[in-house]
Amino acid sequence: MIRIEDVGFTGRNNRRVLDGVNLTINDGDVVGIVGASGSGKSFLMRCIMALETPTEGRIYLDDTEITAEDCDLSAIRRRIGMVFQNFNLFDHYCAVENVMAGLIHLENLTPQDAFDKAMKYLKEVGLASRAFDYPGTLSSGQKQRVAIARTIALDPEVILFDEPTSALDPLMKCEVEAVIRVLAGQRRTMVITSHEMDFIRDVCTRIVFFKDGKVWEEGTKDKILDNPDRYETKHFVRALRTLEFDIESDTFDFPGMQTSISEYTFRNGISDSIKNRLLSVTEELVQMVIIQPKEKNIMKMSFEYDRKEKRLTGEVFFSGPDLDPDDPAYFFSWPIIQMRADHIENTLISVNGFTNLVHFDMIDKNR
Amino acid sequence: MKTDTIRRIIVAIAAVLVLVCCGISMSHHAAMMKEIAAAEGTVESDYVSGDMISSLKNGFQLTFLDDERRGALFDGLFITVSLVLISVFFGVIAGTFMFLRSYKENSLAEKAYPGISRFMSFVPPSTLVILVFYVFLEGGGRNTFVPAAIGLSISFSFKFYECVCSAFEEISQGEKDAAATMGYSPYQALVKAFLPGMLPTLFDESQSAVVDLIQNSTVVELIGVYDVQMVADIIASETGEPFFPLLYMTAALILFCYFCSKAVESLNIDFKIEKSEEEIRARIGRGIF
Repeated sequence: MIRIEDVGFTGRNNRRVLDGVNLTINDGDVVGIVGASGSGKSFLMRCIMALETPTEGRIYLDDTEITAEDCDLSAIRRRIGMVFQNFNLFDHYCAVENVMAGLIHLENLTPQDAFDKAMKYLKEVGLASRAFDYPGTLSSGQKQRVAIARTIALDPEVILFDEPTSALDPLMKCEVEAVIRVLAGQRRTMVITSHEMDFIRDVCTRIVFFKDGKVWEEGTKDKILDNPDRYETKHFVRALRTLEFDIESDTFDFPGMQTSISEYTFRNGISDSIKNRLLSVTEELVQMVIIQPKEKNIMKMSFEYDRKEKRLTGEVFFSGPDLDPDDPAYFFSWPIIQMRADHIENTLISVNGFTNLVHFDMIDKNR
Repeated sequence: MKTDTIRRIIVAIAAVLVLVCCGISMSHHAAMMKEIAAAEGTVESDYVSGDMISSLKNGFQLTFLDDERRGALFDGLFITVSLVLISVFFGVIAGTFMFLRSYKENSLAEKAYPGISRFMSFVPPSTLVILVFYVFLEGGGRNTFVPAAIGLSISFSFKFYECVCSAFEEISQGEKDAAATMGYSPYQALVKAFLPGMLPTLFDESQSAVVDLIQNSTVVELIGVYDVQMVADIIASETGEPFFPLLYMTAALILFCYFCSKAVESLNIDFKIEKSEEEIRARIGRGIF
């Protein structure tokens, strides 16, 4: 069991990285820590792993205080394993040697015993056939699986996963998530930080929402992901699935917007087909509302993706005259938008200076 | 035969040739100095015969590698090689010790050694040798070999310290974190996890330091790369015979190219870290990791 009591950390320029964190991780718990980048969740993981020392508070592993000055850190770290975002394999060792190193140096196993054990764990993560390959020749997903095998081979009481899939493409993510799901099924105590809400929902028994270095809200996965008490939690969960832009002049960063759309589709595992259609629709809408008209209009776009339905929904609010699809000015743009979207609807409104709302859906039929 | 093996053999032969050239140049120079001194009647020499003295009086007529000079040749070679080996041995021990002391975070050594090392890089090894020699002379000693070995060992230890530090910097923070999270103590991580990965960089960096040391060891014996050139010029001007100066010039050129130019990089023996499946299995079978 890990007990975190009033842990705080003040960094340079008096910046509060962690602020009065209280958390208990019981044996067999699979705790998901979610929160925006820079909210302090990775730093908390490093504190639990004793890689950083908090300036306030205490952390206990069972009855041993990790934060005590006289604590034997090497002994503590052998009881906790950590899988990093960037794998951190030893490049001069092949896959099996990476797993064997700890077994030989720390567990004092003979090379033959260590090899047998390492092969067993590599088999468990599906990499027995790549055992003699060096990290440089493995894909990111395979590297992460070797890192997981290296960690579980030392049989730690708790495993910390610090954004284990954030450096991976959607296909690689699936490989690694499958391995972590198996570990979760073995009732191992695990703490996972991730932005993958579906994965967190599948694997974790409890979810902690982190914001500004504090535990903002914690509870069961259904409560945090579906019915959070606090507005910030609700906003964060929704924000992971949505993408929004406010365009107030024709000098806005159009390439930046397109890059954000590409990143958003990548992050949510949206197919290239939907991505290209979305890029095309947004380009035509910007052309119609912002670039072409002589008067100065404003525009607000928001997109949300539903993974279960594989449906991308877009809402575009804009000011200016009422949109008339038969207007000759829209002769080229509107048919393209209609062709790219599976369903499109235009409504006249009067909200916050906006006069039009275009609502569209795109369904991924290939998935 | 594999290209690599051929390259290594050529490099090894070239290295031996270079050492021999060093020895020859040193012995020639030493013998010549003794001949001059003997001719002037100030020093008695084992290497100088009556014929030589008479020939010296009538101008230089050098006999390359005659019996008398062979002794001087091996003496010169022996001194150079011994100085290098001794300085490398003690320098590595001292440099490693310094690195291990400075490895501990926030220690006084961590703060002090890099500065001391940078300062020492400005001190020429010959200055150190002279300093130590002076201390020995003050103590009543007359042996030049020991001060040279001490001075060069000190100089090499700082160079080796720099080599280890730069090799250690090659290890990413991620790997250091990984070793720590696995439960390695800092020294275990350094020696067991990182050292195999550091070796190629360490070896590369040390090569230049050793080459530098060889040059300084020959300087201690009065003859270095530039001195060979100088001797060649002297002989050419005094004898008017083309063969020996040409030989000296060639030796000087080889030494110059080999020690001071990109040719040093051809010594870059491939430190093979990656092993095949068969090699790994064979090592495990022998109980080696």
